[in-house]
Amino acid sequence: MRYPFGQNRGQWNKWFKILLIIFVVLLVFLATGPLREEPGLIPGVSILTEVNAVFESILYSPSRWISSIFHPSIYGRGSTKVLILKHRIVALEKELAHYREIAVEMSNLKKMLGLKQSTRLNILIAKVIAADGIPWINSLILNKGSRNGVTKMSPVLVGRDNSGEGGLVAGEVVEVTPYTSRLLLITDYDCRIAAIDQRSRVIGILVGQGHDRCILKFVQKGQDIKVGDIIVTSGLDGIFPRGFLLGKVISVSSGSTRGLFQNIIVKPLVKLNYITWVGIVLKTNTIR
Amino acid sequence: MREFFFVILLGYIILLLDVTIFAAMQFSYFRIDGIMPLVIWYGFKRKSIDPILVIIILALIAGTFTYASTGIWIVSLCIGYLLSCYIYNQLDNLLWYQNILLFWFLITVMIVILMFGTDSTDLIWPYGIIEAFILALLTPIWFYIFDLFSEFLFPQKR
Repeated sequence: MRYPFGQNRGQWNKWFKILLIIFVVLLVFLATGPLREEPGLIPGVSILTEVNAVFESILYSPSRWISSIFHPSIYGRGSTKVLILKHRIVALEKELAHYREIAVEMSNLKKMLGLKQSTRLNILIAKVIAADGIPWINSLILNKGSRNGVTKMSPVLVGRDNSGEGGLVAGEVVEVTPYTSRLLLITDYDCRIAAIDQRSRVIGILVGQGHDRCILKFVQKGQDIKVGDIIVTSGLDGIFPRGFLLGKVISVSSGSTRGLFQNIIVKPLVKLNYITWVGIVLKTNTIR
Repeated sequence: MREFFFVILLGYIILLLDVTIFAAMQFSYFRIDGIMPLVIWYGFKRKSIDPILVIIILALIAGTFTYASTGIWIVSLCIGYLLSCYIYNQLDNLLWYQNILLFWFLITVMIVILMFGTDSTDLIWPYGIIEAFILALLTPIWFYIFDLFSEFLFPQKR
């Protein structure tokens, strides 16, 4: 394979290297320093995140559209006329998928408005604009930030459940910049929520287990938990309001013989990786 | 200088695609990724220590796209780059399947470091290894794209 830059082109001069080292040290400080915890204080990191968000919001909608119209077998055998008709069908399907996407968005927004009207909480509607850079980390970027009243550890809900009481918990806000925020989904390994069984009132900690799964931890053997039980927030963590839906128990086992606790697997009631609109519960009384 | 901006810009575009288009095509944990192939490609082309500064900057930018700590990106990409430099300094004229095996190894190393850093070690087997293999199979395509761009931007003098 040929060397693309030439033998001498890659020779950087001394001053450039020194400047580059200073730049890297500065970036490391900005990216990892303790001030990163406070939104708005570090222009370096928050500006970069805001710039990312601009491009992400441009690219995310087409990406959803692309995923909904993905048809591998566009080209088949046959005459040119058939081929043209096939292309026409594909184009119409694309158009149909686009309108379906709009209908789904409308439906989601209506649900979110319903939730907003049925609770006394201050809920800010936000749009999902990007996923996490690492596939096994379940976090999403939202298009609302501290300028809209979003703070760290704000609970995030997704629409209303079928039984009509309370919202479904999507996760919590873990990073905030002036115009964007990062939502950590309840299925992420780092997410922990104080939970309670709606039927038997047994309490535990809901811990994310990756894609579409959580486990209810610290439930002692012998305590009354059954498959099909609904798990809700207990409110004991001081972050999530009491009584919001987390998921349904899909498996209960006694675990190892020496262990103290049961193995309880909980499945969230919505496919969290596919959500497009969410409601952020604001801690302040003002929605900007 | 131009080369420095080229790699950073290419990395930034790939990161943007990663969190939007490729994330939309994600199946379970499996997602197309171009950053690791870019690091391997750069190590393969340069075979020297100096450009590691570019990799550090790329890792810092990658840190803004994820909830994982920025430091773990720096460790992962730098080790991937240095390993790539070292191995391609020692070996030459590899057959296609040997290249794939090498890509598999290098990507596995980078993924495993990221998994250790994000406390997700239980995903290494089988997910991490299979993901690395899929990415290794796609790496020649990425190499072709990167070569195409670099040839276009930095044509060889005759």
